[in-house]
Amino acid sequence: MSTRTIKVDTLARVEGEGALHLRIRDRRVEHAELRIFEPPRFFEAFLRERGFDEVPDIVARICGICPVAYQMSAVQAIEDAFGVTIDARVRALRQLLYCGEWIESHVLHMFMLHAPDFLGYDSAIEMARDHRELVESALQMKKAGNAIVRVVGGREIHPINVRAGGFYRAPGVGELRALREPLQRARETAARSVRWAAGLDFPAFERDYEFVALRHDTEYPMNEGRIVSSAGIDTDAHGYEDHFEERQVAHSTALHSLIRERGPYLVGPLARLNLNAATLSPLARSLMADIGLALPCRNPFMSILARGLEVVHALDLAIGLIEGYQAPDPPHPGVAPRAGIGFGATEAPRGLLWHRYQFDDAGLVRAARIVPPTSQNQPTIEADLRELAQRLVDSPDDALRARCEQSIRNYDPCISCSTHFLRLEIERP
Amino acid sequence: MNAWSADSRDRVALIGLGNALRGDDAIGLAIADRVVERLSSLGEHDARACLDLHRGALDALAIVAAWSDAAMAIVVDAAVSGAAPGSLHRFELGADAGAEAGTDRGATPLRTALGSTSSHGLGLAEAIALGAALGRLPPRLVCFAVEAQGFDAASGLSRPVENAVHAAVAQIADEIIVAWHHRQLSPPRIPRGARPVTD
Repeated sequence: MSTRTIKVDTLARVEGEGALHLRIRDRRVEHAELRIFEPPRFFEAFLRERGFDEVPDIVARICGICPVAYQMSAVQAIEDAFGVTIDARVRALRQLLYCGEWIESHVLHMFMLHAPDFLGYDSAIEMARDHRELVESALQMKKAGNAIVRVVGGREIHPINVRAGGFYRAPGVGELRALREPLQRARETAARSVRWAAGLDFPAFERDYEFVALRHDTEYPMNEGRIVSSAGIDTDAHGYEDHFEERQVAHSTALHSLIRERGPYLVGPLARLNLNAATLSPLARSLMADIGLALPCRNPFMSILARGLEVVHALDLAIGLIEGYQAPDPPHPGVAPRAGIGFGATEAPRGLLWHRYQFDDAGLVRAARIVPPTSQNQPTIEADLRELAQRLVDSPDDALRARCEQSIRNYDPCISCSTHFLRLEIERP
Repeated sequence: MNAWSADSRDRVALIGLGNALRGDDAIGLAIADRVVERLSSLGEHDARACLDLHRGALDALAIVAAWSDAAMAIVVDAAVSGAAPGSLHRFELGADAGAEAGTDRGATPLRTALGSTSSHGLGLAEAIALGAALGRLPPRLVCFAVEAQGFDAASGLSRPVENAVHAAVAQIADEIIVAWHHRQLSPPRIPRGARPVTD
């Protein structure tokens, strides 16, 4: 009998601290774990007894990469609890802010974290020496996304301009118009990037996922829609807990989310694309046809293509929103708290982000529950790892480890903040 | 090559790195903000006006973007090197550092001397290496780092780090003033993104 244990104590090029642990006995993968040390649940406790008006700024601190997503799900839940209907101009401005975050988050992942896997580099810096134009493209696109978040959100990191009912300050028309030209240039670059990504060498690997994402009748889902799945789930944010549950597992500080009847499921760009391709912008749709991406796409390594198409879509949408922009006046209506429970579900760059808050009649938070995309994808990541490692069981440790790490990065897991060390431990009896 | 080459823009990027909610990690933000205040209080309005302030837990791409158009960049961060808390480190990359594109000259001593406090492993050292690889280092890059005592999840600096702020602010403001007067920059323009933001 032989046992092989492959451990990566801290994963590189993921957003935060996680580790990989594989155990192989007699050429059979017994055990595949993505270990997560992320502490998001502390935030649910931090929020208790806080006023509703503090919630958007507190939850923005959960993530330095996708703070807007947390703010969007939170304000939606607050407005749901208090019976607030938002102005169409506020809705459009929120979409624009979310576009900025999708662009910067997706571009960072595609080029700095994921592309080195496909091109055979250990880091984006090494890659930049040989593929300067690729990183320059990323720089240009990300800058355009950052500018949206800075102008609409008040600053690039942990924006401060979002509040229940609207915004603290509505940007002027001129401020937004100044973003248009860089966004148009970024859109051309993004289209080229999709064509570049389509030429990458994708491992032949498919699994039969249940895709879960928001769906909207007329819009590619971002900050509004029903929660649907490829196996027939169709509910609003209120009904989320009827279909999904979270379980604690010993090796992760993130809870594992499962569909009650069926188990693991997939959220994120690939799920969104599979469920919503018809509502992509015309340019993104035509690019998808040009590169011959057929749906359903069940190859998780192709998530880089879904991200690329979503960058094009977000740039298209952002340019349109800026051209049609009318500043909401006033930027926010008065919001009167009342006792109740509110729900919010939006599409973070990495997938569905669901919030639930219970408020008292003064608008203080009594209870909060936040289900981030990575905890929803974690069981699926582990299922991918088990199957992938089994197929590659005869490969040398280095090759096996590299492919497994790449497989984790398919999900752009947003774990927490970390430095990166990499250590591989192999145990042989 | 003159650090202030004729084709470089007349801007100074002041980049304060850190997280205001993680103890001494906020030192870069605090110093950057106070440098801006000091220039104003000294009446150095023209030197103040040539500054573009960037602050926060910026990733490597954002750092490179922040200094890409600048004639000079000053980066302020926290350090973990084993030195006494509050110690001020200063590194300067000369005008030719970027000429060796493809090397991570400058980044290696920084990384080994100061350790890494960045999120996502894509912080200042990586930004310098990336900037070198892309030929996007500013003509002059000066990095200041204050040795941290701790990064607890709380706001407020530790006493030794707080005690180091005044001298660091004075030194950095002086460097900017000297650079300004040496350069004889053109009349000030309205700085982009230069409004201080309070956490």
